[in-house]
Amino acid sequence: MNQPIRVLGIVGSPRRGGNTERLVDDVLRGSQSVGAEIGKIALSDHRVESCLGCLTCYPEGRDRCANHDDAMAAITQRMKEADVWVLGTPVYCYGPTGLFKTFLDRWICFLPEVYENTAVASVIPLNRATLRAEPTLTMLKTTCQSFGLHYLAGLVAPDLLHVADLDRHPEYRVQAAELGRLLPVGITSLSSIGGVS
Amino acid sequence: MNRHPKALALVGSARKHGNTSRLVDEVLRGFVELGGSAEKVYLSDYSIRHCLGCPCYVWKPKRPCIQTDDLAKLGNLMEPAQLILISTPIYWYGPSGLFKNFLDRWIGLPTSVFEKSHVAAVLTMQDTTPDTAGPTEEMLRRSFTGGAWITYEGSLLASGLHHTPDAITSHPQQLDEGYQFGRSLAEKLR
Repeated sequence: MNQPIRVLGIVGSPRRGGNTERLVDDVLRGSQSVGAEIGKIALSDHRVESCLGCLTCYPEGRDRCANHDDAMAAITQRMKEADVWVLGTPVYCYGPTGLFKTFLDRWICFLPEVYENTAVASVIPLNRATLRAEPTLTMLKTTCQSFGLHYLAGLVAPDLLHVADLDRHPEYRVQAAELGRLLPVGITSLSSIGGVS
Repeated sequence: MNRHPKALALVGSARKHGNTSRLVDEVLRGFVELGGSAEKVYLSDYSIRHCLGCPCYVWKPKRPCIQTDDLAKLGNLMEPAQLILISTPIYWYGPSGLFKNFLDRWIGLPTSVFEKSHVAAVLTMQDTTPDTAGPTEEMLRRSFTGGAWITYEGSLLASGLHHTPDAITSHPQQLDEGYQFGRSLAEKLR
């Protein structure tokens, strides 16, 4: 490959330096270790307004939201430039955070050039058992399917509630780094990564 | 038991005269017909910041949420209601971000807001595949069952609605289901 794969982490936790961001960082470092170019956006640092459902952009997409002149335009530009998105959200009330869902709702505006040939991995920390991640995981996977995105793999990491809880689970950090190393490979041979996570 | 139960409806769609809001109206019509009273508010009229993930859940006694927005106002409206009727359109297999921001903040409200409350949900979507609402239904069911304060009365789903705001007006059967849902909720609470 001539160009390095570009992996963009998007953190949907309101906490900076929390479990979600640290795991996304581990994924990114894993990708970087095999030659990927990496970047990260923490949604909590940006103003992303909620979709008004005007559907001016639906179904063709639009270069800009008709209502909001917020950070979504710049975020979209960075997503367009990336080959892989690593989407991280903790589970709040059995779903993604409101912060993340507000961002996800705005995807409706995406022109095909934003998501074409893009792959997705997810990082979902949660308190208690894995089962509780299911609605969040299904939302993410089916949304990716709707866009024709290649959903590669997800890391579901239970028993993470407080900021430092990840220190008790070094195994998640190993898995995240492994996922990160596989992502650039996944782009070139999607079929071979089917069994991951 | 209360001969005149009170309902507070919270519209989780940004479209004030959209399908979600119209279906909520039908639920409330049925509810009021059987002696209840009802108030409807639009979440989009309130400033609702997203939950910051600070550890309010470990503070004993509970402290008020540190966010200075309109959540306390909504809590004050919810507190006297026996029925909290939540509603959201399905966006990308989940609730609207507007609604999810609101739901995430319940953790920071005083428990008196929900004590002995009944919660029911109204969901609307364009898709006709019931699975599309699955994650949202599951999310709400799991969020509202198993707790000590809230009785979850389930959700009503109207599907196959074209994305135009008035699509539901050509679905009299779905509107009627809303009306019947409202009646059954009033009957339970009376």
